[in-house]
Amino acid sequence: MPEDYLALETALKAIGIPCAENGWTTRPKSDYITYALEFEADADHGDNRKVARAWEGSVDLYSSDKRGGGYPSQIEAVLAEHCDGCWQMETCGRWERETGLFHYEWSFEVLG
Amino acid sequence: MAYKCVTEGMSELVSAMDQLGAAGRGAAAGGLYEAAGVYADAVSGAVNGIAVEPFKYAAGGRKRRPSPEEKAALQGAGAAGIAKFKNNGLSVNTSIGFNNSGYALVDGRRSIKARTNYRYDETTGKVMHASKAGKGSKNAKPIPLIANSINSGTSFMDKQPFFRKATRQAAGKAQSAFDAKATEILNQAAAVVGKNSGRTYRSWLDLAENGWKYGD
Repeated sequence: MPEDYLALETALKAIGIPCAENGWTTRPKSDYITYALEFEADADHGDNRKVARAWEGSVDLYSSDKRGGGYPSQIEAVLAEHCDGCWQMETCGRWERETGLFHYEWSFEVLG
Repeated sequence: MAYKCVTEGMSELVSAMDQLGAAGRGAAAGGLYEAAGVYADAVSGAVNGIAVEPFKYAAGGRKRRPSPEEKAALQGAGAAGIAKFKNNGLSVNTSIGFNNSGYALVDGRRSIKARTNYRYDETTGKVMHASKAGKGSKNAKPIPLIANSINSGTSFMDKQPFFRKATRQAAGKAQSAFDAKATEILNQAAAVVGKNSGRTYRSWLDLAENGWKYGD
């Protein structure tokens, strides 16, 4: 697991919002986030080896508040600190009719 | 669900094509078509890798996976297609995705039925709002909605970012396909106007930067 990602994970937990870890089976009742490292986005090769590698992952926020309860700005501050400019918002407050929650999504890249 | 794929060097290519005249103007569109095809193929392949399980209602905080019917809808014809090309004089743009790919008929399960506002009316052969569809009509879900739900996940379904993964990992191949096709078309155009037709893509970009010289 890339060290940058572990640091990002720690910083996300420090925000204080409930986190649904990988392999979650039951969703928390209140506002919560999920995050995961998903796949290798890019790599540099040299001397028949991988010289550098970028991993892509995502953070999801599910909130009953349309504005995300103030969490989006905190999450973006963490991403800016740990991923520099390599992140973007993919989904901004999409409403889920089934659950009545609003969905925010960010994708990011870290080196590892 | 909008993904932006940037192909660099387009303005230089357009500049080079200006010097070649009308014969070379198809290079950008031709190269872009090849590149978009690579992206579309990658997405179609990624759809096959979506993990499914028989439908169950995600009640009480449980989660579920996409159903086989939903996956089959994405695999259907017309999904992950290439949109029309738009040429604004400076650049040629297109997009790939599931927009305007229609609706998928879904089994008349009660759980889905209660959450689907669209019905396929067999008498008219059209998908319409549930309040207007006749009795006995079948349930329909917008295919872009299904694709978005699987790609981005929901609060009751783990995400499977098939689209994002496919487009990221196909970027290199798409760039190569663009280079090869654009070079081929530019060289054909150069031969028509009596210019050097044995150029590489890099050479075309150099030409665009430095202009025509004696002997080109």
